[in-house]
Order: sequence, then C-alpha cells, then structure tokens
Amino acid sequence: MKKLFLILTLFGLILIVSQSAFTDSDPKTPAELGRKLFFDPILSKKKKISCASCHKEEFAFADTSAVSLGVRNQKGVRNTPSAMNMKLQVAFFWDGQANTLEQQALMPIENPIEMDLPVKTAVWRLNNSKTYNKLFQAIFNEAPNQHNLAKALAEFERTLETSDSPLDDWLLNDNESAVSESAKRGYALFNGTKANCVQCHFGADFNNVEFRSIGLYDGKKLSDSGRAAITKNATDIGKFKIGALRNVAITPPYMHNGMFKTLREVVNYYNDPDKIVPHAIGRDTLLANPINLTEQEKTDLVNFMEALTDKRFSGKLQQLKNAQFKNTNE
Amino acid sequence: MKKTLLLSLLALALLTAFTINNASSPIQGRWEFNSVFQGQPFSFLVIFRANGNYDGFLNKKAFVSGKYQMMHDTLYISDPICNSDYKGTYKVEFFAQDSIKFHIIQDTCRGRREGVNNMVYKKVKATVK
Repeated sequence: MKKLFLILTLFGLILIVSQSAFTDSDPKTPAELGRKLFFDPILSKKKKISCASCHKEEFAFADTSAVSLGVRNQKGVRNTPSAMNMKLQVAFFWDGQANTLEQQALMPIENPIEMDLPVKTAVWRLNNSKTYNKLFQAIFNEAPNQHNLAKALAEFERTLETSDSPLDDWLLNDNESAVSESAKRGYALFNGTKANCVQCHFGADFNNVEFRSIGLYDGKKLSDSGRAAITKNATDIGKFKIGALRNVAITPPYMHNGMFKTLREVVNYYNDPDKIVPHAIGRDTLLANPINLTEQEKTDLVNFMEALTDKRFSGKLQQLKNAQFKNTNE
Repeated sequence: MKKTLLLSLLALALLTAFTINNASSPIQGRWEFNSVFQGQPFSFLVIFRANGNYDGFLNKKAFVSGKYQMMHDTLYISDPICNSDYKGTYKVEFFAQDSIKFHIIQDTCRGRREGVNNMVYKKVKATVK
C-alpha cells in the first residue's frame, strides 16, 4: 500500500512538472505567438511548408536557392530576402509592394505560388485549432482574425534584429581586433569616393528606403520590371529595393533573381556591369563607369561585408567560406 | 637643413595644437538620443573620438562614420553619406552638465539635419580610447 502511494505520488509529481514545463513554453506575447506561426505549416494549403521553409533561420531567415519552392514545388519568381532587420524598414519585398510588416506578413500566405492559402481559410483553421484559439484569446483577448494574425507575425519579425557583428564590435566597443585590416580597408573603400557603395547602401542595415536600377533589366533575358509593376511608372522599370547588407555573407545567392552565387561575383558586377549585362536598360548613372577595383580591393570589400555578419552566424559563415574555397579549388 | 628643421617644427606645432584642441573638446565622448520611430523606441548613439573621427549607431548598429571639428561652440561635421567634402555647421549648446543640443547654422544634407538639428543628446558615461 505504501509502495503504491509512493508510486502514485511520484507519477503525480512527474505529471505536474511536465505540465508546468509545457505551459512555460507556451507563447505569451504576440512575438512569441508569431514565432510559433512562422514555423507552423498550418498556414500553407497542403500544410507542408511554413514561412520558415523559405526564410531559413540558420541563413539569417533567407534561402540559399536562387528562388524558393512554394506549394506543389512551384518555383518562386524572386530571391527570398532575409526576414531579419525589418524593424527600420519602410518598404517590403523587392518591389516594395507592402508598406508595413503587417501587410507583408499575409501576402506570402495568399500567394498561389508560395503558400497558396486564402487568409480567410488560414483564420478559419486557427479558429478551429484548440491550441491557437486558446493562445490568441490569451494574448489578444480575441479569437484569431486577419489582423491579429498579421500582428503576431510582424511582431515576431521585429524581434529579428542583429546588432552584434564584428563591425559593430570594432566601432562600438573600440575593439580593434574584431575585424581584419582588410575589412577595415574595405569599410574605407565602401565609404570612399572610389567604390562609393555608401551612396545607396547606408543606414543601420546598409540599405536605404530607395528603389534603384543597378542594370539587371535588359528587356530580354532579364525581364523583371520590378518597382514599375507597382507604381505603373515607366521610369521605375528595373528598379528594386536596395538590399540590406547585414548578414549578407550568409544569404547567397544575390540580387532579386539570385543570379550571383558569391559576394565576389557581386563585387565583380559592380566593378564593371557592362561586362556581365551589356545592354541594360535604365541602369543608374552611379554605375555608368567601371570602378577599376584591384583584386585586393575586391577582397577587402568582401571581407568588409563578411564583417557585417552577426556573431550568432559566425559558424555558418565559416562553413560557407569553406565550401566556396573548396568549389573554387576543385 | 634650416628649412627642414623649421618645417618640422611648424608641423609639430600644428599637430600639437590640433591634438590639444580635440583632446580638450567638450564634445568628445559618447552621446545618446532616444526617441520613437513608427511606434518603436530607438536610440541613436554618437561617439566623438579624440582623433577627429566620429561613429554613429542606431539601436547599437554601426551606420555612419565621419569627421568632425569643434571650434569654440561650433561643430563642423562631414560624412560620406551626405558628402565627405561638405561640412555641415551647427552651434552646440551645452546644458545641464550632461546634455547637448545642436542648432543648425548651415547644412544642406537633409538626413543629417533631421538627425541633428534641435536634438538633445545626453552624455553616456563610458571611456573612449
């Protein structure tokens, strides 16, 4: 009898502990709920892919393919941008079709080649899920709806800020050894009149609010009109949102169509765009002439961009560099 | 020989004057401005260094490096985003022992004007190398 009582008490204790552990891990804020939703395939038609299928956490919430695969393995049309460092952005997607994170958050869910789920159906599913219904009630004091779904996803994205790169460490903490001499030269080049990258890539995330054409539109092989499809303005043909550079070293391939596999290729393009896209239409006048960078200067710029990688991703950066080194030496 | 010596002395005198001027500059150090952007709090930190360089940080993210010079109460400031060769000019008002306010004298760079003019920055207690 005593033994049975002991076993029952022990069992009860285990049950209480495991129950409380489960409760502790439950989302308690809109951002935590957003994280759960971001990784949950419930928001896609076949319940097979989630936001995180294309915005992979280990690659700074970007993808490593030129374009990602959506439902039924359909190919997307543009390179998946990182979902990190969105807090200060004022336009979203390559063509700026959304003005707020809340607006942006719902678009991939409905997009027929991404998650292909009408938002109404997504909300219906969440309302029919005991877990989500309980969570939305607890966090928003209301049942799941289009607005709180968008709010939760957007709030999660707002938590994905990175401010601990070697460059930040060097400048903020006066840690001279945080970045290499080459990266420091790269930063000077980036800011200087020769490379002048800073003319477009400025701000806390090294982009700005503008849309520019870097010459990746020729009306033939490169036919994505970009911003013009949104503004209906012919002068916007071939313009895209300027890409943010934080963590850029771990988000290959590059550009709106993922046409460059490495940062070196990107630098080579900017160095002499005509060599790679000879008949570009509407290319920005800032890129009218070759920059004439030396090979060392190109390396310095790449090293500078690598120094913008948040320390949480330093292992991934090393992995990618090793793979690139292997590829170039095979 | 005499000419070289004189030039060296002149260079040394200029260097010393510049160093003293910056070393004693009351603006040297870390200053912070806090506000709200799109409903989100943000902080802008600027470090004015002894060597005449400064670095700006938004929410601890490095985002601008430039040059500055203090002449009495006037700040001359340049950065590559606006144009490294152009110096914006501001009168610096020191008050409450730990705060500064910038008053525009002349600056054609809108972005910098918006981040500097009439903004109150508070001194951050930290050592600068």
